[in-house]
Amino acid sequence: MFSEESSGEASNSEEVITATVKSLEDDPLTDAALLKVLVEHIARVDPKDSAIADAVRDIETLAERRAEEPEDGNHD
Amino acid sequence: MAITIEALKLEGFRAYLQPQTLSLCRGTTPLSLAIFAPNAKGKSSLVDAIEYYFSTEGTLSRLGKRQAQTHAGPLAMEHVGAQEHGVIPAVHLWFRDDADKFDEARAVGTSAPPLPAAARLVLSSVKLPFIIRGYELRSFVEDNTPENRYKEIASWFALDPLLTIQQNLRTLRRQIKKKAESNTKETERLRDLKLITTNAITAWDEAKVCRWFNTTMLAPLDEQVEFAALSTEDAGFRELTNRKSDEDEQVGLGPLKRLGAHLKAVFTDAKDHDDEPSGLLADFEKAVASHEAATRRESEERSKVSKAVFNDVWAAAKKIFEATDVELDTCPVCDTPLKLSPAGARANVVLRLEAKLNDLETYREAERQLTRATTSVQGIFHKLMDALETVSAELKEARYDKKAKAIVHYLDTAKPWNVGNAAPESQEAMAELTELLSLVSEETDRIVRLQGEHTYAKAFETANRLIEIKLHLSRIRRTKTELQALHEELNRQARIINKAVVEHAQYLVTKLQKDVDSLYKEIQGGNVNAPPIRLELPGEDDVNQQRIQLLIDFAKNRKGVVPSGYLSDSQIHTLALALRLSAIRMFNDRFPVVVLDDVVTSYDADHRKNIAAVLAKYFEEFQIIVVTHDELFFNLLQDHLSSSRWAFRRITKIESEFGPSFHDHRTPDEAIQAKLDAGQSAAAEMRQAEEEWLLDICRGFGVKVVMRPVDRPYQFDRGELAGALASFLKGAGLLPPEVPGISNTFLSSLQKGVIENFASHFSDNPFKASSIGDEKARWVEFRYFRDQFVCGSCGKRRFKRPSSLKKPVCAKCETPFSF
Repeated sequence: MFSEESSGEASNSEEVITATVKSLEDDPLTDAALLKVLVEHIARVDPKDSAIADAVRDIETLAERRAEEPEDGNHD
Repeated sequence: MAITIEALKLEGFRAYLQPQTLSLCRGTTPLSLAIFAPNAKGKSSLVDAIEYYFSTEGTLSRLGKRQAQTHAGPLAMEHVGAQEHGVIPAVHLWFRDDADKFDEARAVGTSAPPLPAAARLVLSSVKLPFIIRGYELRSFVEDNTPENRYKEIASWFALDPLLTIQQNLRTLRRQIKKKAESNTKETERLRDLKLITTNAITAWDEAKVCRWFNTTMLAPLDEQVEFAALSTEDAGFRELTNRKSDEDEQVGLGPLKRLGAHLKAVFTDAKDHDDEPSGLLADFEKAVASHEAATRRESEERSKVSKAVFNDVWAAAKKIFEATDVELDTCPVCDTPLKLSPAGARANVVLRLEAKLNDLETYREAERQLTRATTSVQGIFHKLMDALETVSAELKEARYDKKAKAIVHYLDTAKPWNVGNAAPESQEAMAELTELLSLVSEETDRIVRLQGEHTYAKAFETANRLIEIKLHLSRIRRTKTELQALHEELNRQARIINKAVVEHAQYLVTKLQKDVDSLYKEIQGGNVNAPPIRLELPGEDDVNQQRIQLLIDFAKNRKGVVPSGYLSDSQIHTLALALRLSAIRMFNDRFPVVVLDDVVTSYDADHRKNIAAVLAKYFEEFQIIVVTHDELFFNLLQDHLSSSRWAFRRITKIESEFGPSFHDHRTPDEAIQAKLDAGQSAAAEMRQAEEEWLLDICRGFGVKVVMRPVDRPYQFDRGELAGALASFLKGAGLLPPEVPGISNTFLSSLQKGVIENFASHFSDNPFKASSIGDEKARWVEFRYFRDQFVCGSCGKRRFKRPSSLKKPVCAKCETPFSF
C-alpha cells in the first residue's frame, strides 16, 4: 500500500508522483487501465492544456469498451 | 555557491539625480548594509531601485503599470530633474556568483524596459520575494485567504506541479461524476421510443413494448404473428421478416428496391456544392485521372534518368569515390585528373553521383505509383462494367429500358476501353442514371403509399427501430454502470495521490513552522509564553485540500485561533516578519539576500534589539540591506552586527540638484575640474565639496559647534562650520597662511567666522551672477587652503583631538598639527 514516508519526505514534486504511482501500481486493488489514463494525462508534472478533456475522453472510451465486453469480472 | 550583490548604482531614479554607487562588498567578501536616514531623505529609493531592477512588469508594485486614479505609474520612478540635467535614468547592479561576476543596467522608462538578463538569472535562483517592506508585512497574516496562502507557500516549496495535479484531479472527478450521473443519452432514446409508440410508452419496459408492438403493429396484419421478445432471434421477428419479403415481391417493391440500390452503386449525383458525386462511375473517372497523372509523372522522371542504364555503374563508382582508404586523384575510367574534371574534386564527384542515384529513386517511386494506379483503374473498370450490365438487365425487366439509352450507349462505348485511354464521355449517362434513380424512388414511394397504414414493411421497420433502441439503452446503461465504477476507483486513486501531495506539503510546512516559531519567540524576546504558531493544512476528509490556516494556540481554552483576533499589532507584525524571514532563509539559499525597508516601526526598544540580535544570529550567511528611519534601531544594528561584514551609512541630507548625500560622501575633485574644464558651472559641486571638507576637518579637530535647532537636527551649513573652525583655529593659535595676492572671501570669512551667502561671494558685485572665471579662481583658492591641513610628518589628512589636548594631532602618527 501507499508509503507515507516515501512521498512525505520526497525531495521534489516528480519524486512524490513517481512514488505514489508506483505504490498504486503495486496495489492489487488498483484499476490499472484507469491509472494508466491518470498517469498519461493528470498525474504528471507537465500536463497538457487539454489534460482534463483528454482524460475524460479516455475514461469514457474505457467505460464504453468495458460495456461491450463479456462480464468476466476482470478488467485489464 | 550563492549569488551576492557587489554594487548598486542609481542615476536619475526616484530621489537620486546624479549617479551614486553603493558598494556591497569588500574585495570578494559580500557586505551587508544598514542605512539610516530621517524621513524623505531618499533611503527607500534604494529599496525601490532593487524592486524595480527585478520587476518583471518594469515598475514598482505601489506605482502600478500605468498612471491611473490610484497609481502614479512608472513615470514616478524618474527623478523629476533627470530630463533637464540630461541624466538618463537607470539602475545598475553588479553580482558575484562564486568566481564569476556579471552586471547589467536597466534603463528606467514608461515603456517597461525588458527585464535584464542578469536579473532573470538571479530570479531563476529565487523562490520568494526577498524585499520585506514594513507596511506590507501584516497582509500575509491578516488579508491572505487560506487558499491564497496555500498557493503562495506552495510556490515557495515549488509545489506548483502538485497543485496543478490536485486541481486537475478535482476537475476530472467532477466531470466523470457528471457523466456517470447524466441521463441525456438515455432520455434521447426514450424520446425516440415515445415518438414511435405515440406517447403510449415513456419508460423502457420490454414486456410492455412487445405488447404494444403486437397489439398496434402486428395484430391488424395477422393476430397469429407475435413477438415474445424484442430480438432478431425471436420467432415472431423471423416470421415478420419473411412476410415483409413476400409482401415486397407481391407489390413489386422488391425489384424496385434492388434496382434503386444498384443505380445508386453506379452513380449518385452530388447533393450540394460541398458534396461530390459518388458511385463506381465517379470512382472510375477519378481513377482514370489519377492514372493519367501517374503516367505523366513517370514519363517526366524517366526522362530525367534516361541514362538509368548507368545505375549500377554510378552505384559502384560512388563506393569507390567514398572509400577513404583508396587514393584517387584521377578518374578510374578515363584517367582525367579529378581537379580538371567538371566536378573539380573527389568530394564533388560523390555529391554528383548521389544526386544521380536520388533521381533514380524518385523515378522508381513514380513507376510504383503508376503500377498502383493501373491496377486500381483496371479493378474499378471491371466492377463498373459488371454493375452496368446488371443495371441494364434490371432496367429492361422493370421496363425502364427506353429511358436508359445513354446508359446502354455508355456501356457499349466503354467496353473496349483499355488502360491508358481517356475515360468515355459520361455526362448523358450520369444525367440518365440520376433521373432513373429519382423515378424508381418515386415509384417506390407511390407503392408504399398505396399499401396503407398496416404493412409488414412498416411493422418490420418499427421492429428494427425498437430493437435498436433496446440495444442502445442497454449499452448506455452498461456504460453508465462502468463509468460509475470508474468514478469510484478514480476517487480512490485521487484520494491516494492527494494524500501523498498533502503529506509532502505537510512535511515541508512543518519544517517551516518550526523555524517561524523559533524566530517569532526570539523577536518576542525569547518569551516562553509566546503562543505556539501553527501552519495547518486541512484534515484528510476536508473537501478543499488547498488551504493553509495560520493559527496560534493563544491559551488552553483558545487553541488554533486566528492570530488577528488575539495578538497585538506588534505581535502580528512579528509573526509576519518571522514567517517571511524563515521562508527566505529556507528557500532563497541560492540568492541569500534580504532587503528590509523600515520593518521596526511598530516596535519598542527591546523588540528592535531582538531583531538586531536575530539578524546577527540567524542571518550570518546572508547579505542584508536594511534601511530605517529609526536611529535607535540603526545604533542597535551597529552594536550587534560585525563590522567586518557590515557597512553602516547615514544619509545626512538631500539636494534637488544632486540627490541624497551620505555622511561619508565626498565630491571628487575630478568631477568639479571636469565641469569647469568643459565651461560648465560647478558652483553646486564646489559648495558640496567645501561643506564635506569642513565637516571632516571640524570633526577631526573636535570643533565645537552650536547645537542645531530641532527642525534641522542633522545638517550644519557651511558658514556655521566655517565660523566654528575659524574660532577654533584662533583659540588654538593656529592661523592658516594667507594666499598671497588673492583676496579670498572664503578664507577671510572663515577666519572671521562670518556666515557667507553662496552664489554672490564669487563676485565683487553681490548682485551680479558669478562667472566661470570666478568659479575657477575660487576652486584654486579652496584647494590651496585645504592643502594646508596636512600632517607635516606623514602627509596624511585625517586628524583627531582627544579631549585632553588643545591642539589636534594626526590620526595616524599623532604628530601635533601645525600649518
